[in-house]
Amino acid sequence: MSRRPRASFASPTPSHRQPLRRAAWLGETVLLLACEEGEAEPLPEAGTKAFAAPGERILAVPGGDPPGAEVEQRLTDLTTFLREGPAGWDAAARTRLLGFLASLGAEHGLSSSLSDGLRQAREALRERWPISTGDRRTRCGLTVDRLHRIDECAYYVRGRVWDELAPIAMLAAFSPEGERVELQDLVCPHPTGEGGFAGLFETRSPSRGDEGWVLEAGSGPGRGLEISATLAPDPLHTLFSDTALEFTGAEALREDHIHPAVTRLNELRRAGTGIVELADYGPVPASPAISLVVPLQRRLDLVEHQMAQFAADPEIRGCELLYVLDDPDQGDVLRELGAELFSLYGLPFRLAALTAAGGPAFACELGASLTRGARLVFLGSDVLPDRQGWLGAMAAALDSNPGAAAVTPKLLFADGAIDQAGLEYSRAPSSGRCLLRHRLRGLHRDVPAAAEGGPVAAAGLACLMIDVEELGDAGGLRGQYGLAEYEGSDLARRLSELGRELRYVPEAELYRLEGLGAEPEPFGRPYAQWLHSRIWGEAIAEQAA
Amino acid sequence: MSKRRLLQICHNHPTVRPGGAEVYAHELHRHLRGSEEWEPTFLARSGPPQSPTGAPHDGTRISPMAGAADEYLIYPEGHDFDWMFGTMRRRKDLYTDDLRRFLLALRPDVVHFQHTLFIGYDAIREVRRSLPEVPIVYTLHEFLPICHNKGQMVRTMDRSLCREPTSRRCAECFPDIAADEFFLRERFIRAQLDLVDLFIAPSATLRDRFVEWGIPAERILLEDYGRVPAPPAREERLPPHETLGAFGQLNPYKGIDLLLRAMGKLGEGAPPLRLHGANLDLQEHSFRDQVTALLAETETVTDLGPYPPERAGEMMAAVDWVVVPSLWWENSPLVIQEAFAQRRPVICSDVGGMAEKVTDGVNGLHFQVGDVDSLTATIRRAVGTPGLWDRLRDGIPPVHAMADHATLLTETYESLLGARRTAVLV
Repeated sequence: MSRRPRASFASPTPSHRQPLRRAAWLGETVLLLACEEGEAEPLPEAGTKAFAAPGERILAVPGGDPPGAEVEQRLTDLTTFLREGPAGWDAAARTRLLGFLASLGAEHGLSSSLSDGLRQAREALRERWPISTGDRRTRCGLTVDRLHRIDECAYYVRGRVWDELAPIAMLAAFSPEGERVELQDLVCPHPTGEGGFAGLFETRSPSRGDEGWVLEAGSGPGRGLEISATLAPDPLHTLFSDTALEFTGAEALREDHIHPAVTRLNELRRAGTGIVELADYGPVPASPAISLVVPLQRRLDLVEHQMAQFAADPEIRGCELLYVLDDPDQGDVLRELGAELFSLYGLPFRLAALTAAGGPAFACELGASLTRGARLVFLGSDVLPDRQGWLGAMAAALDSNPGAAAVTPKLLFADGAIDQAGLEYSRAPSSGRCLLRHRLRGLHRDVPAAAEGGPVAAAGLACLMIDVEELGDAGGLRGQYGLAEYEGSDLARRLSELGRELRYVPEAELYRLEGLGAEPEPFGRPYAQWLHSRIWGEAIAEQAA
Repeated sequence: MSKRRLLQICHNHPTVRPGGAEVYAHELHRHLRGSEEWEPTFLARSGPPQSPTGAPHDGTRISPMAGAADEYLIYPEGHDFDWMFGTMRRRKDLYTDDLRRFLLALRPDVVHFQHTLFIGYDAIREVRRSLPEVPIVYTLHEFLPICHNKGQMVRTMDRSLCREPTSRRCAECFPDIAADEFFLRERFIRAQLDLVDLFIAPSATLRDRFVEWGIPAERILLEDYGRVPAPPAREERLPPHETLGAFGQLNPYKGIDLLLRAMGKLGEGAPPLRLHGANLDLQEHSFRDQVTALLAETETVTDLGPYPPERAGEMMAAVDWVVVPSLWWENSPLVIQEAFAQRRPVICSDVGGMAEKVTDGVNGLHFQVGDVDSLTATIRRAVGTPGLWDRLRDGIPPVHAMADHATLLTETYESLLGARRTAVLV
């Protein structure tokens, strides 16, 4: 049974002079009309688009009023509509028509039924090639390792195409809605093997669904292959993996494809991520001097471990303590846990949650927007104080150094060795890229150098105290690296540009238990390194030397 | 003047599981029933897996024990107990609801934790939160706060003694658990134990280890278990004094397999061994099979099974020597006190609480811990040296009487009450 809204169909009398040959529904809201070729004339109603082809003219009329009697008489199914006309056209004309039809999605909104109709049209009209087996032992082949959606019109593809007899002359992607994108000149080489390629490409019109992509490749007239492809989840994993590759052309892949793709994903994530308050437990100070913001990722149990350490600390009792859940699915669990922990420990605190997973920097940034204190401490959920007094020591260092915008403590491993006494820069011998290093890492906590407080190049977000005003002046946390250390370093660089310094406070000692797996695996490190070097490489070159 | 109220909290009731700490704690409770100054209450954990039945009444997980107005059972739902951290991971309302209501209804003047296993260290925090003015006492029975391996401080890979419990070494014993988790465990447990006013260590071995771990020495009172000794045997044992006895839990740390191997080495001339062991059925298959095979190989061993605590004296009286071959440090083994109460010399490993409570050549004999040849030679010497048994028996000290122990404890409670009040007022 048809689900089409027949009662509300478009204009009954297309005001064209050329006789109507046939009509068909494309989805539920677009009517295709095929007219005899003739002089161009005004389109019958607003929103109607026309496609001129040899021998006939095709109009796409948006749904609206009921169809007229003439249209009803000529109405047929989509396959017949295409077979009696466009199917007989040459390949170029058919491809152009498919592009025209695909653009209707952008014009009228790509509903599910329109997407289905477009896909049906594509299957009826597109040029077909033998299907590639992907077997590497054959003389020619085409494979798609990964195809990811970046946004509704941008995709990242990685694959391989080869032909031992002739050079590849054509490589293209067909969206499920029939838009054909030439990839040959877009993609970069990729070191997956001979003929490896990867790159970002865009469609003019949006595409729906994860299935139905077709890639085709050819090395000459009549010599081509095709393979279907399905969109894969987790584009960042592929993008970050490809970032780490070193080969001729790698920099172009990073600069022209990976970076725009990651940037776009971050923009979408930022635009689509908000924060909601889950609960307040106990009398949270109304005007606290300091607000602690703790992003929570995988391990909700770490809240209890921090509670066990914080409960007896009078400094923390005077602060606002806010946990920000970066995994909205666990909101109910956290709320229940929070109530029980407050009842047991009696330490007031607040809970909030991001509306979508956004990473530690987003959690810190959005969490800070909910806080009431003039001074912030970003604190990892896997960080535990060695003893009381750390907050006071950090605040005192900030207050007593007018040039300081932020302070960071001594972070220790569980065995007491230093994890970091701030961060510093170095240069990778092979790539020359600037790297972020943990200052004094691995040394005994009492090594003389660790006892000297003072300016340091940077600090991560594992424990960072900064005034709200300073954070705002510097532009906040940007959430473009994915790794808290690089986000912190980026902030430090911007503070530095403003003439503000970041200081290390040795009197404050905390443990950072990275081995707990509280944060997602830092598989994005190569990208963060690259991006950080791209943005700040020149500025920190001297320090990294 | 009304009596002061003492609440003891214990991880099991001796009628459910007759372990040493449970037996001692309940003896203390029973003794204090006769006190004119103190009114004791005993709260013990029950429920699965040790006891097949759960809480009898809906809406509460604490219920009185049948037939005793001053004894209660708490049912913490053992499946939720997190062994690693010693806490109820998801059901904190055990503390904030059931235990809190119990504490506020009972209003004890002192809370004495005999153990928090199966209940959780959080119970200490709940006591402090509900009753901030009440002193909290905690008796250390083994190394559980320090060691995840059942508190034995024995390495899992080879049962060697552990002298350096660091996060990294703990992770070597449990390769599936990250070192940082052990650090987290230590910090969590320590944060709860920080709320305790006074610890009691029944042995210097235990005290010293916890001082090394970080509990200030002044917060640990060295005080051995008090016992209500069984009456000494009416009939003296006649020579030859060669019958051995072994008593207690049959688990891999008690060294029963070592003793059975020694018996095997002694061959046909081996002395008789009366084995009174419990809970072999709770051990892993490999250990059970090993012990069963060794028992089958040693003809002079009589496996008599478990014994009720009140008959310990009678069982001890039927042997000449009591062997304590533990592979772990031990604290202050009750079996040594029971042996001494029956004036039976003890053959024991030369480490920890055993070496501390038994003086080599004075009231017993030491052998090198874990060394089957050393144990074999020591048994041979014990049963083959004329006059040794009598000499060692004469060196046995009197057992620390429960009455003396209880007096010291109640004096300590009084002292803590004064100090706590002062602290709360300040």
